[in-house]
Amino acid sequence: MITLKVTVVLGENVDVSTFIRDLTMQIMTIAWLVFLVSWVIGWAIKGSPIPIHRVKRTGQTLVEDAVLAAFWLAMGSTIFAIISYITSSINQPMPPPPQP
Amino acid sequence: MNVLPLAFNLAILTYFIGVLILALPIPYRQLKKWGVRLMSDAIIAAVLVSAYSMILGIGDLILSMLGYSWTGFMAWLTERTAILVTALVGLTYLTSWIKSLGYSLVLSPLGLASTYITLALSAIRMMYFIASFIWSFRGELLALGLLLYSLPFRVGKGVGAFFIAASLVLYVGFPLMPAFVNVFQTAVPEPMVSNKSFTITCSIVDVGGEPLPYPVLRIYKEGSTVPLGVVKGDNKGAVVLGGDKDIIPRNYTFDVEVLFMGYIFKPSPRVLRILPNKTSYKLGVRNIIYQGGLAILIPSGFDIINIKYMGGKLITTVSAPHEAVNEIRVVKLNNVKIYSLRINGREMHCSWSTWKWNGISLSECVLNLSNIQLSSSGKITISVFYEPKNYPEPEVEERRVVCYESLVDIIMQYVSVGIAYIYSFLFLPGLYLAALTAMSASLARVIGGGVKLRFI
Repeated sequence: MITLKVTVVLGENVDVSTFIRDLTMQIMTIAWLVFLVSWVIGWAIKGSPIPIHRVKRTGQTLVEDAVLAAFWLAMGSTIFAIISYITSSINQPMPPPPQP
Repeated sequence: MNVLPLAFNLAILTYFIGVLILALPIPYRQLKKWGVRLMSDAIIAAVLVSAYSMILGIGDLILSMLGYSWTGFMAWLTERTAILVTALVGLTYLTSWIKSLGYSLVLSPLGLASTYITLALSAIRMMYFIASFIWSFRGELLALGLLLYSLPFRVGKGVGAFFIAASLVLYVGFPLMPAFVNVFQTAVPEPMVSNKSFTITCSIVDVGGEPLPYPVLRIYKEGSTVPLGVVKGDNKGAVVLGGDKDIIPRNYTFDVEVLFMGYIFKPSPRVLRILPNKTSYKLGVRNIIYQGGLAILIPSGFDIINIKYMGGKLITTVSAPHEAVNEIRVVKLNNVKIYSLRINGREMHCSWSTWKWNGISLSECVLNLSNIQLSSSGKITISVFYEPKNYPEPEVEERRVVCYESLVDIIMQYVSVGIAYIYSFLFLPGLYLAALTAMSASLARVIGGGVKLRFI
């Protein structure tokens, strides 16, 4: 049995950024687990001895979506790093503010 | 700024929520599409957050390319505020002036003009407030927009996009406002600050060119018999018209009369034409010779040959061209003491009749020339030795000249100034501001939902 524990501590020194980062990590973990579950369920449906084409198609779709999700999950950090890198490399230094 | 990392983290969170939804083992197409939508939102938000300083720089870049600056805009605003304040001060002055003239009934159009100008001033103040806000807080506005934009599930996408667009469009748009307003406005009328009319000085002199002290000028509209005004002069014989007290239009013609020592004289020139460039006029009274509280009144038929003003002595030589006119009057203040009154060297005895005119006690003696033996040349020399006195100020109640045509002109001018100000200070900037808001909304639509990325 898999136990998921999401803890939110709203204490005095709660940093929102840290909280969001933690949340992101937890969601990422959950997403990986959900991918596995989807993949397994997809294959299970696809491989089940049910001679209905639509059911087999649903299993296939689930597997495809799960694989795509896994791909974007794996690429996630890289995508944001690339965005940061590209925009910071073409950024101009900010001009001095105008004086009224 | 702490908002930007937060917005970036929120974008990452949105992305992974999208991936999670995409990975869910639920074979429901719409749900999967939501996942993809969230991922694309997250990527766009991340791009925008990373390009924060670039977006800020774009505004300055566009402004410098167009050749406009915030410095110029602020100067323009200050200049307009100064114009409005000047107009308002002028209007307040005019209102109090008309009140002092006793024409309070005609003040309601001025109240209207005052309302217009105050309204325009409020508009400028609001504009100044919005402009200062954009100029000072556009970075914060942009960051807040990015934060709202990055929130998961498109919670603040619309409003975030509007903030981002507004921070850019308004920052570029405000310095362009002078150009927009200048294209559409007609010439802004100059506010009239000082006097609505102008000042003219009339010097009243006797036949020898000596000033008549405290003359009273009675002014008629040309051709009319009802006096338009009664104005008292000073002890140097100068009567000042216009200024704060009278409303006289330029290019106007008056008939005038001079009241002095109880007599009404027709001066030369009789008709006063107010010319735009002329501010001083000389009105000569041909029938009077005056010095130190004593006057010799010469009828029109006489030619004056010589006058000697000698302090306590007044000598004049006249010639009588025909015998029909044979009276010369000597008028003096009651307290003036006559030592000797001679005609052609012969001592005359006068019977003085006295009367009071506007608080001044006067005495008059009529010299009948028919009894006097004239010289062969027909000249009459009158010499008076006396004790001179200062002529007192007559107690005449003044009635200042107010030409209604001119007053209505002034008021209508102010009302039209007020309307012009409303157009150029409230309507045009308001229209421009509305256009900027519309542009911001359009740009917000482009940022907030125009682009779609396909991942599956």
